[in-house]
Amino acid sequence: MLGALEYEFFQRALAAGLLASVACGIVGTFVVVRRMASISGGLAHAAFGGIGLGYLAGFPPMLGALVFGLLSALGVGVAELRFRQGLDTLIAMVWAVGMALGIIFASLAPGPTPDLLSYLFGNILFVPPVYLWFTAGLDLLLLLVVGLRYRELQAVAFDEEFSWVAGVPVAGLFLLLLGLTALTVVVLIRVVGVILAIALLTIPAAIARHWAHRLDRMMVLASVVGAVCITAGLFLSYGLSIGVGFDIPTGPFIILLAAAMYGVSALLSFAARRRNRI
Amino acid sequence: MSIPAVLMRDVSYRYREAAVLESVDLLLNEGDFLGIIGPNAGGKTTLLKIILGLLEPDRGSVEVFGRSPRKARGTIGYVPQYARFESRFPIDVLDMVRMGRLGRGRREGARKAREAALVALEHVDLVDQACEQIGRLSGGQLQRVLIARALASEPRILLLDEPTASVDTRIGQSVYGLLERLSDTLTVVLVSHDIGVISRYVKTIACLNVRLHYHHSRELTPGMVEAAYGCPVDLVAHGHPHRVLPSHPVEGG
Repeated sequence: MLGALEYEFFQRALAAGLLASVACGIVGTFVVVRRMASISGGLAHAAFGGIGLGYLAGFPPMLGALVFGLLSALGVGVAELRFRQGLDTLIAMVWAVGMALGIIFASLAPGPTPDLLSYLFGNILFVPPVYLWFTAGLDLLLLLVVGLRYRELQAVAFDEEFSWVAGVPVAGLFLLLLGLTALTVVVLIRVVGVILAIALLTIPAAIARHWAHRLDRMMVLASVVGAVCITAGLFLSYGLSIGVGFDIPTGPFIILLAAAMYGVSALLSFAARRRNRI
Repeated sequence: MSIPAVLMRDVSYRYREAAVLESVDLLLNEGDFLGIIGPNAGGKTTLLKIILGLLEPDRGSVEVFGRSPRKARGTIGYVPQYARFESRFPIDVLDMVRMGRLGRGRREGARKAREAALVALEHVDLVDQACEQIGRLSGGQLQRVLIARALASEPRILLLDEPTASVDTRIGQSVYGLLERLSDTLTVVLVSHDIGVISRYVKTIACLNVRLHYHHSRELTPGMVEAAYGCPVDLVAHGHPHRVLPSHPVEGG
């Protein structure tokens, strides 16, 4: 199986996966503890509007995705800060409207209709090399922000009202968090596709939550779990393909592997908690 | 005359169509220890949130030490109802108490913030639990952590929302004893429906049911209670460590 490492596409996939798991571990921790999973899904799909517009207007589609993602994050964030409730419906609308815009823009674009679906599903085995650098840059940015603002971000994620009373700029930090989520999702769309991106944002962090009793440790653990899932998924799917001729798409395989790990972790942590209580 | 700790003038607050607070006037001086009782949905939490600046009143004015609540952020310690919390959140006791130091900005070093948090934990006798995840604490311990977090901010005024709603009587008494000691050095406002116990510790008591009935005294008059609860007085006057109502001839009915 280790023979896979001789292939450049495999090395690149592994590097992309490891870099992505750091970003997903950090952002996913906030996504899970703040229950923002549907928000991150909504932002990812809103970004499609930007991809379509890019094709139509002739600028890089990922730039459009970034602008749409960040604007949606701002809109959703302001709505949440103002209205608190009913956000769920709004997110579903952002989600659907983003996709609809993307499809319409792309169909109006001159020349052959670009394949939006390839963005949706992505393929970790065909990561454009420049995105390795983007992902590394994203990791650095996230580490920097969390390193500088850990206490405030922790406070806002845990107890917004108290944070406000204590004098923390709650609204600004919340928007920062949403903006970073949008940025992460947009970069990951191109690296692993939107579905694997959402899986990597939620499943490793949810597993880490079973075991970590502090936010910083949860981030580290989630990153490690994500890296293990991706590495195992890449090697196993390669091994199945070479060994028994069973070709299985890598991204979906990684997701199922992660979900299985989640199941095992949930059972183990449940058992551990019961044992502690007795 | 010094600046009042809290000054509310003619404050009203509506939620949709319903009046939650109606023309509330309140003057609290530094060093007061006020207990506010009243029925559920009587506006107790809303009143606290208006003083904290978390809610804006529809009418009237609020000042905390002569400033707007928004500007007074950082001088108010807040102990919310603990039922609101997710106890499985990955945070340990020390980190939670350190939240109280956030208002000081990042100029304060990590070591100093940590020390201040430990001092606050000492007040509530929970130093040994500093590294526990909050979900592993009992209800009473968690309640004391909430108080320690508010104390860590070294507030000039402490607002507590039902601090003993979820703890047994013994813990409740230790919480009130702690508040009584603290009230020597800071202004305390305590909201509860536990009329009997709080009347033993507070310096003054008020009744709130949309309107605030407050006479700057420790004694409740039957009129206040009846106005606030809208029910016969003796329902709420029994079984307490000391009388909160002046004696009346027939008890119990």
